[in-house]
Amino acid sequence: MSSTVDQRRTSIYGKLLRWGCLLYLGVVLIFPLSGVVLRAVSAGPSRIWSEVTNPFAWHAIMLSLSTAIVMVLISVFTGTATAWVLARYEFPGKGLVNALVDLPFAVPTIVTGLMLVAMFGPTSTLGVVLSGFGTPVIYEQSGIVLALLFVCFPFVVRSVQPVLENLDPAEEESAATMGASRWTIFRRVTLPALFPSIVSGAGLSFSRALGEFGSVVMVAGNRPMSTKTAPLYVYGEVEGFNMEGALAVSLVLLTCSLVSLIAVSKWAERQG
Amino acid sequence: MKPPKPQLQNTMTWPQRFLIIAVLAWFGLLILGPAVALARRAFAPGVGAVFKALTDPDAIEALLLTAKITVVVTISNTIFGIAMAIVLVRQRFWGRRIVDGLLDLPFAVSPVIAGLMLIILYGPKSTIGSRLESFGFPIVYHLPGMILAGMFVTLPLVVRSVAPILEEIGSDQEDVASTLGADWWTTFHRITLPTIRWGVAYGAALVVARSLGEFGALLVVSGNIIGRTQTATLYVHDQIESFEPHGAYVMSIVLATVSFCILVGLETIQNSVRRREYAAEAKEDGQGPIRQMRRH
Amino acid sequence: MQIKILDERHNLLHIKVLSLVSGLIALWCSGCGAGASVESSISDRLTLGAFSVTREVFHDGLIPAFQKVWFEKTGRSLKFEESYLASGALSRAIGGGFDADVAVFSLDPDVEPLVKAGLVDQTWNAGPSKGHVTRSLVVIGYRPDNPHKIQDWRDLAKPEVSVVYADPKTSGGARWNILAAAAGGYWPDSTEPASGNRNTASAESLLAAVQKRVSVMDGSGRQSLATFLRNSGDAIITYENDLVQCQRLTGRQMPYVIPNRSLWIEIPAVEVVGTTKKNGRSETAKAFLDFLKTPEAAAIWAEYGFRPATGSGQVQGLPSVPKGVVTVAQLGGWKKAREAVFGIDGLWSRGFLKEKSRDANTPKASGK
Repeated sequence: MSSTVDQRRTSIYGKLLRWGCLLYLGVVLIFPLSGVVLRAVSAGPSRIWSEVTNPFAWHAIMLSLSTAIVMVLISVFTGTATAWVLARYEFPGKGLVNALVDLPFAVPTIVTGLMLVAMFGPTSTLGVVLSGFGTPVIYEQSGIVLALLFVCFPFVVRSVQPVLENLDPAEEESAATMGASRWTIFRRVTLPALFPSIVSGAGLSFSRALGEFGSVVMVAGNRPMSTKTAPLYVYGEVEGFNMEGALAVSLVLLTCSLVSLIAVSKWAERQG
Repeated sequence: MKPPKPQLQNTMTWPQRFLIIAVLAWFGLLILGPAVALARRAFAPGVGAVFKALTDPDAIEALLLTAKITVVVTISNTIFGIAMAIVLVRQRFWGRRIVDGLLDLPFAVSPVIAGLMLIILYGPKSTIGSRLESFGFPIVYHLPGMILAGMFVTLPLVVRSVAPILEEIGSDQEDVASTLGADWWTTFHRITLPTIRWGVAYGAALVVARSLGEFGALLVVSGNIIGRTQTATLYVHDQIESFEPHGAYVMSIVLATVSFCILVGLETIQNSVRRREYAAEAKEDGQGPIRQMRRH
Repeated sequence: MQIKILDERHNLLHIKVLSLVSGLIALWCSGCGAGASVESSISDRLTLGAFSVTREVFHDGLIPAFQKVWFEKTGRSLKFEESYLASGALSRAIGGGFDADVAVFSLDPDVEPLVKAGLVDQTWNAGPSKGHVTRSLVVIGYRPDNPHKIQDWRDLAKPEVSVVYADPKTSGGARWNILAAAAGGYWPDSTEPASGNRNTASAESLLAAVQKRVSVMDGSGRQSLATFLRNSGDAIITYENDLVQCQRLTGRQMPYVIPNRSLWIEIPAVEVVGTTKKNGRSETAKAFLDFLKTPEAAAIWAEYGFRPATGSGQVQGLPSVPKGVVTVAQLGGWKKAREAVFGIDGLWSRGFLKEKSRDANTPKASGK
C-alpha cells in the first residue's frame, strides 16, 4: 500500500492536483483564517483580552457555553433513545420518523427560528399556555436551548443508530441467557458499545451549538447580559463597527469548538 | 446480512411501549410540531395568497440569486471535494495531517465568524479587497463574496463523504488499471469515479441543502440589497420585518421542502441502488469494474 | 450480460452528469446575460440605501412620486434599487463598498464614518435643515385600551409591564429610543432641560428599570415592531411614524403616547459622492434629495407619520408636540450623549452591571 502511494507521489498530475487543491483551500479557508489571526495579533493581546473580559462579551460567551452544554446533556438522552427506538422496534410511522430525523439538517436555520416561534411563540396556543404557567420559552434562555436541541437533533441519533443496527446481538443474547435483566444488559453490554458514538455525536452537537446563529437570533430575544449569545454578540459588534470586539469573541468561540472537536476525535482514536 | 431483528412487536412490554411513546412525543414536540405550525401559517390565507407570495418579484429575484450561488458553490466544491479527497487519501506529503484537520474547521466556525473572516480579508478596506476592487472585481457586498461564503461553509462536505470510501476500497483496482496501461483520466473515470459516485452525490446534496439555507455568513457579507444581493434566506429575514410576514412563511416552506426532498430523495435512490449493486456483485465475485476494463 | 448492463449504466451516468453540469452552466450564463440586458434598457437608475423604518414611505410613497416627477422633467424612466437595513449596517455596507447613491440614516453619527472615508461631502449638514430631511418623535406604543395605564417613562418600570425595543448595537432607532428615556430621567417634567441641572442618578435608575422589563431586543426598529405585532410585550418604545404607518397598513389599532420629555428624531439623508461620481448619477441623486424637501414630498412624509424637518413640527392629523420635547443638541450632541449613555461606562451599560451584581446576590431574582 505505502509503496504504491510513494510511486504516485512522483506523478506530475498528482502534484498539480495537490497544489490546485491547496490553492483553493487557501483562498476559501486558510487565507481568511490567517487574516483574522493577523488582525488579532496586530490589535495586541491586551486589547483582545480586555474585549473578551468586558462583562457583556464574557456573559455572551458563558451563555453560549452553558446553553450548549445543557443542550448536549438533553440531546445525549433523547438522541440515544430515538436511535434505540428506531433501530430496535417496529411501530406505525417509523419510516416517516426515520426520514424526518434529518429535517433539521435540511431546514435553513432562520426557518428553524420561524418554526419555533410559530409553535412556541406568544401568538401560538402553546406559547400562551406556557407563559400562563410563568415559563415562556421564546425570548428566554430556555428558547435558546430549544433552538439548539432542534438544530442538533440529528447528530446523536445519526451517529448512534448505525452502531446500534450493526451491533452483534449474540452478546446481548448470551447475557440474557445468563439471566441478566434487560436493564443490566443495556448498562453492561450495549451502552459500552454505543459510548464512543454517543460521545462523537455529543462533540459535534456541542461545536455546532456554540456557533449557531440563524435560529437563535429568532428565538433568543437578544438581551445583553441575559439572552445574547456569543454569535449574536459578534454580529452586534460587527454592525457596531467594533471589529476588535468581534474578533476577540470569535477567537474564543473558535478555540472552544476546535478544542471540543479535537478532544473528541483524539478520544475516539484512543478507544480504537 | 443484518442479523434478524429481535421480533419485539408481539412481546413488547409496557416499559418499551412507554419508551416508544416518549420518543415519539419528544420528536413530535421538537421537530414535527414546529414544522406543521409553520406550514399552517403559510397556507392559512389560502392557495391564492401562497401563489401571490411566490410570484412577488423580490421573492423571485431572491430565489434566482440563491440558485446561482448554490449552482456555483456546488459545482466548484464538488470538484474540489473529489480532488481533495483523492489527494488526502492517495498521496503522502508534508502537512497532510494539518490540511486534514483544517478541513473540518468550517464545521466549527460560526457562520457569522465565517462572514467576518471574509470581510477582514477581502473587504474593501483590506489590501487584497481594495486591489481587486480597483480591477473592477469587488468581492464583499457583491456576488463573489457571497459565493465565497457559501464555499467556506460547505467546504468539508464532499471531501468528508468521499474520503472514507476511497480509503475503504484501497488503491488496488486503480493500480491494476494503470499497470494495464490506462492513463490517469481513464483510471479516474472508469474506476475511481464509479466507486465513489454515491459518496459524491451525497456530499453534493448536502452542499446544495446547506448553501440554500446559509444565512449567518451571508447576512454579514452580502449587504442585503433587495433584488441584487438578497438571497432567499435574507428575504425571509427581511420579510419578518414587514407587517405581514406571510412571504417569509411561504419562502421558508419552499426552502425547507426543496432541501428536504433532495436529502430524502437521494437517500432513497442510494439505498435502492446499493441493494441492486450488492446483488450484482454477489453474482460476479466482486471484480466488476476491472473486468469491464479488460473487455474494452 | 450483467457486465454490459453495468457498463451502459456508467456511461449513462456520465452523460447525465455532464449534461446536468453543462445545463447548469448555461443557466448561470443566461442569468448573467439577462441581467445585463435589463441594465442597458433602462436609462436612469438610482440606488437608495435607507434604514429599515423608512421602507414604506420610500417604497410606496416617495419613490413612485419622484419617478413621476423625473419622467415629467426628463422624459426618461428611473429605476430604483432599494435596500433597507438597520442604520449601522447600512453605514458599514456603504463604507465597505455597497454602491448606494443616496443614503438615509436614522442618526447623524452613521454619516460620520462615510465623511471620514471621503464618500460623503463634509458640507452635508450645512443649510437650514442641517442635512435632515424629516423628523419623528420617540413615543411609547401600548395595547388598545391601555390596560397598564402607560402614560410616561416611569410607567414602563412597573413590574407587570413587558417592553420591547431594538438593540442599540445594531439599530440606530434604538439609540434614539433609549436616549429619549434618558432625557426623561435627566429632566423630570418640572425642570428646565439644560445641561446644568441633569439628574444623572434618576436617568440611570430609569434606564435600568425599563431595561429590566424588556423581553426582546431585535436587530432593527422594524423587527421590534413586528415582534410587538406578534403579541410580545405590553409596550414598545419606537418612532411615532412607525406606529402610524403600522395602523394604516394593518388596520390594527396602534395607540401611543408622546411622553412629555421626548426627543426629536432627526433623519439625515446624504448623497454618497463616492458612488455618484463614479457612476455619473450625481445629478439624479441631488434631484432626489431636493425632492425630499419639497412641499409635495412633505405631504407624503406627513401621510406616513413623519413630521417636517424644520419649524414647530406640528402636523394635521397627528397629536400635538408636547412642550418638553428636546433635541439631541440639548443632550450635548451625539458624541457626548452616546458616550454618556452607551459607552462601556455609560448609564445604560451600568444598569446591566448593577442588575448583574444584584442577581448574583439574590440568585432567585426574576429572569426578566
